[in-house]
Parts: sequence; structure tokens; C-alpha cells
Amino acid sequence: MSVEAIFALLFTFIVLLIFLELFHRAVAALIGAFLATYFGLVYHVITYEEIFTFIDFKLLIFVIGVYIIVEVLDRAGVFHFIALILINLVGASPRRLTILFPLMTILFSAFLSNIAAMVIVATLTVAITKRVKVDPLPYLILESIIANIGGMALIISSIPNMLVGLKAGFTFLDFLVFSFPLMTILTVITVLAFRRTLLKVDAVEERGIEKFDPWSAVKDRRVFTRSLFIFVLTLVLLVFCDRIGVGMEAVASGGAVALLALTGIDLEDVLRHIDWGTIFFFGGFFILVGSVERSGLLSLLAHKLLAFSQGNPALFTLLILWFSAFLSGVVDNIPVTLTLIPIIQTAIVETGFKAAPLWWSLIFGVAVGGNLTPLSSPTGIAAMGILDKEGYTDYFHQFLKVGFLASMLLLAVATIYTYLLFLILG
Amino acid sequence: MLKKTLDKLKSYTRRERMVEYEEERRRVNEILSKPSIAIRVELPPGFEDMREEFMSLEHDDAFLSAVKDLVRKTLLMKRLKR
Repeated sequence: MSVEAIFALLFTFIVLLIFLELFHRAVAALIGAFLATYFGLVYHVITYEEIFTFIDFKLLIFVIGVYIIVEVLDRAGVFHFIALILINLVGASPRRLTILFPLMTILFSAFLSNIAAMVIVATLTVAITKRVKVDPLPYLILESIIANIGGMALIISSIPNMLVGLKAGFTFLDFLVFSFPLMTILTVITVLAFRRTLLKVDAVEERGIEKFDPWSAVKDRRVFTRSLFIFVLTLVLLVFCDRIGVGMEAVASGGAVALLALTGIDLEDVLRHIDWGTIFFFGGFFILVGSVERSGLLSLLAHKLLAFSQGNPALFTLLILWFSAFLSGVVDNIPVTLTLIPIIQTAIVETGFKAAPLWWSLIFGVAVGGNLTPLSSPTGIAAMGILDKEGYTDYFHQFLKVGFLASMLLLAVATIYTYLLFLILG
Repeated sequence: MLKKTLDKLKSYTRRERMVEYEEERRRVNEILSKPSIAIRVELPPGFEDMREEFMSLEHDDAFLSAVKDLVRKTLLMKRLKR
């Protein structure tokens, strides 16, 4: 058996473990790392010293920094404060909810992880739809789709954005210029499509609710003000960090340290709520992918994809978009992104294709792909769990009715947008 | 087959996400409802023989109305002192 075949089997085995959820994905990735190290050393694919160079420590620092910032902001009540202001501003009649909830979802998933954004917005949705006596189910389907789309807004919005952004050297502004407009277009299309089909807003009786006091979400105004100030300062520094000669990981970790020091929030408590599973998953999967790359398997895959696209850069870009979308419709989008990055790097080095459109197609693909089925993304699964708990058991079928079609529509729009981007950047 | 997979996933979501959801639901309910306080009042010394009457104050409308009045007056005084 060739080395490529052994690593192909190992990689498929680990992806299957992640897909079937037989272990926590971090444990599966660490098993993969140990097996890859063993086979890599036995077949002289890697040396022991270079194993640790596979781990992208800059990314780990960036992700931990962002996690801490978001956790402190949440404790300070910033997100709930903003949610109450939005409810008061937009209003909560059934018709206005179709604007309110998507707006809230987009805003939160731009700064929080998609799943954290989904839990906050879904909880508010259940509470508010009960008050105005409408069915929360269609709103939650809409939110689970939009949470995934919102994940493409900024570099800090999702792990794939951070992974690709740091690897491609994209700045905070690049995301505002290239990714944010597509996110806006896709959100508007989704809301319009849902207003006419699932939400049937014209048939619902208009009912308003009382205004809320946003300060009820804030326990300590001093902590709130300081958190908000440091967060805004961190965002500004993220925008201009390339001009001051530091990386985004330095700004994010600096912001996290400043927040912990100036708000007095208990570090131990913050650390307990950080998603360490994802951090350990990174460690393991970086070593696995690094070893698989050294075995030549990913280069082989890159050549297959290039052959399929007949060396046409536009076709290859769109192929990456669709390939990543369908893969992340089945597997978590983080391993998909980690696997496709070296494939894209190989294609760029060997063909001289323009890098930027390829990286954007990967970011767009993994974001849109999370909506292909109700189980394609953690947001869909969380929405289903919450509705189940509230006694609504029809999420899966209702999603299949409209969700898949909506996703295909979104993928079609993303394809047109990516092609235009290819023409502009290529 | 599909039902089995769904049930498995549902149990997974319940296990993994429901704790998070319960916490969030408590927080949202707290934020969206009117602020309230719960005060523990002990039977004053020397009234041990009136235990029953004391316990029934919890449901005594006239008493509760008087407490509400007292809260209003106290807050009014605090506002004036600001």
C-alpha cells in the first residue's frame, strides 16, 4: 500500500469519527494527530521536530483572544443590552419580527460564534413570539440560516474566516469590502424568500409588546462601559493593525488582557466558559493535516481538482466554492477549511492562479454550505433542540420544505458573486 | 433509519446545548420581566404566639398593598434626595 493510500485511509477514518460523533471532535483530531505522527515517522514522511511546526500558534492566540473578548462582553451584558435596544427600536409586532430577528442574528453572529449567537437570539425569539402569540418555528429556521451567513461578515465572525484570513493575509477591511456585501445580499434574499413562504406575515394579526429597559441586562454599569470602550478600541486596532506593524492575534490578545485587567471579571470563570474543545481540535487537526500534506495526498487531490477544472482558473474557483459548500453540508466546516487550505495553496503555487478569489470562494462556500440540511451546522442542530424542548417537533420537515431550496438559491447567488469577484480580482 | 438518526441527534442536542439554553432562558426571563426583589422577614421577637397570623401576611392583600405603598414612598424619598 502506498503512503498516500495509508494517509487517505487515516484521514477518512478521522473524518468519519468526527461525522459520526463517536468521540468529541477534539478527541478524534488528537487520535488523528497521534496516528499521523506514528505513520509519518515510520514512513519517513515527517521528522519529529517538524510536527510542532504544523500548529499555527498565531491562529490559536487569535482565537483564544477573541473567545475571551466575547465572553467578557457577554458577562457585561453588552449583547442583551443591544438586543433590547433593537427590540425597542424596530418593534416586536409579527411583521416587524421578520426584520428584528434577522438583524439581531446578523449582528450577533458577526461578533459571537454562530452557535452562541443562535442560542441568544433563539431564546429571545421564543420569549417574544410567546408574547405576541405567533409560532417561533419559522423564525428559528430563518435564524439558523442567517447565523451561518452572518458568519462570513468579519474576520472575527467565524473560525474558517480566521483560518483563511490569517493564511491569506486578508485584513479586517478586506472582509468589510469583499465578504460583508455578499452577507448582506444573501440575508436580504433569505428574509424576502421567507416572508412570502414560511412566515406568511400578511396573514398574521399585528400585535405589539411593551418597551423594555436595556439597562436591565446590565449588572454593573462600570464594567459595561469599560468593556464596550475596550471592545470598540480593539475593533479599531484590528482595522489598522497592519499600519502599526502588529498582527491581528496581538490586537485580539491585547484586547482580551485589557478587558480582564480593567473590568475585574474573574479570569477563572471566563476560562471555564471558553470553548477549549475547539482549541484542542485545532492542535490535533493541524498535525493531522500537516502530515497528510507531507504524504503528498493533498497535492494529489489538488491535481485531481485542477484536472477536473481543466486548468481554468474561473472554473477552479467556482469548483472550490461548490466543493467546500457540499463538504461542509456533511462535515463540520472547520475540518473542511483546514483540509482545503493546503489544497488551495498547492494550486496557487503550481498554477500561478490569483490567490484572492480562491480564498474568498472557500470562505463563502463553507458559510453557505452549513445550510444545506437541518443537520449541516451546529446552529440548525441547536435550533432543533430548542424547539424540541419548547414542544415544536416539526423543525426537520419544515426546514426540508424551504431550507434546502433557500440554500441552493443562496449558493447560486454566491456563485454569481464569486465569479464577479474573480473578474475584478483576477 | 432517518428517525433513529434524528433521535440520536436530538438526544445529543439536548445533552450538549440544553444546559446552555436553560441558562440563557433564565437570563432572558430575568431581563424581560419587571424587576422584583424577594425579602426574607423573620417573626419579630415577642410575637411567638402569633406565628399563624404572621405566616398569613404573605397572602394578606391589605398588608401587601401597604408594603407596595412603603416601597413607593421610599423610592420617592430616594429620588428627591438624588
